[in-house]
This record gives sequence, structure tokens and C-alpha cells, in this order.
Amino acid sequence: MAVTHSTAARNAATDAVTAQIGTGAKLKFHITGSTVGTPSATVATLPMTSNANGGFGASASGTATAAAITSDTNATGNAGAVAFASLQTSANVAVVHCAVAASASDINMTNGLVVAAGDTVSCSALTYTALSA
Amino acid sequence: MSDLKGDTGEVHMTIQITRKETGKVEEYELVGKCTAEEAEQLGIATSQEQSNGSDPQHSGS
Repeated sequence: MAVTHSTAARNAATDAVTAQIGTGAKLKFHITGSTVGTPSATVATLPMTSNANGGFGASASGTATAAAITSDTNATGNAGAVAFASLQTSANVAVVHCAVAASASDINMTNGLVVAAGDTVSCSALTYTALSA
Repeated sequence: MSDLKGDTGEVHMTIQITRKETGKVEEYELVGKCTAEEAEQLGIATSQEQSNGSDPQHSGS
């Protein structure tokens, strides 16, 4: 049987994590081989809205929603596919780190998501949930 | 003894990539799993996709 939490606990957990990210947060994308302690090569860096909660609003129903995210209009790019994403502090310390994959099967990800140097990478929506139940 | 496991954290995002070469805009919905186990599973799938040597350009939704 799965462990479940109250909504208040879920909100507290999510808000505690986003507070760790803090002001000047960044959303970064990395190639394979990345870990939270040692993120791999960065493909693109997108500045989050600078607030005390890592660019997120207060958690509701366990989920925090990011405010506006600035695009990277000149991505570093990499021949390797995007495999990980991280939310980092202004000092480039990863607080949230995760492997990423397409959620929709109708998207062609056969060759992986490759970002070329000079591409523009934007993020129109981002949510974070610390405890999904 | 039951096998207890912690719940997973999740990141959901919608990103757009505007290709410098063509100006084409591709949109992707990505899901991130914040556990070592699920990350490893996704990492294995991603690395398998990288082994395909065809054109890296691909269409999005």
C-alpha cells in the first residue's frame, strides 16, 4: 500500500523544496550522465522568475506552478540528446534533478530531443510536485 | 516484511524549441521523475534512442 500524505503535508514539502532553490533560479537541460551532485553538460539555461520560491508560486494541492520563464535565445546545444533537467540555485547548485522523457506517444522521440547551438529554447509551463500522493 | 518505497516527485513542463536553421518551432511535453529508479529507467530508454544514427531533426506536436 502506497504512503499517502495530507494536502497540507504535500504543500509543505513542495514549498520547502522550492524555497531551497531560492532567488535567481535557473531551469537547465543536460545530456546523459547527469546527477544532482554533478550535472552533466548544459544544453540550455532558462532563468526563472526571481522570487524566494525558486520562481514558483505557493503550492496548491501539492503542486507548485512556475511563473514566467525567460527563454534561452542562444542555446549552447549539444550533439547528445536532452536526458535530464535540473532546477538550480543562483550559485548553480542543483536542487531538483530528474530524467526527462516525452509524455505523449505521438511525439517522435526516436532520435532523442537534440538541441543545436543557437536554437531558442522556451518553457511555457512548468510544475513541480514533491509528493504526488 | 513489506517492501516500502517512497513516493516520487514529478516535474511536468512544456517546452518550445525554435530551430536556428529553419525557424521551425517544435513543442514537447516533458515529464521528469525525481527518483533514482525511475530516472534510471528513463535514462536507459533515452540512451537507446540516441543509438539511432538518422537525422536528429524531428517534428514536434
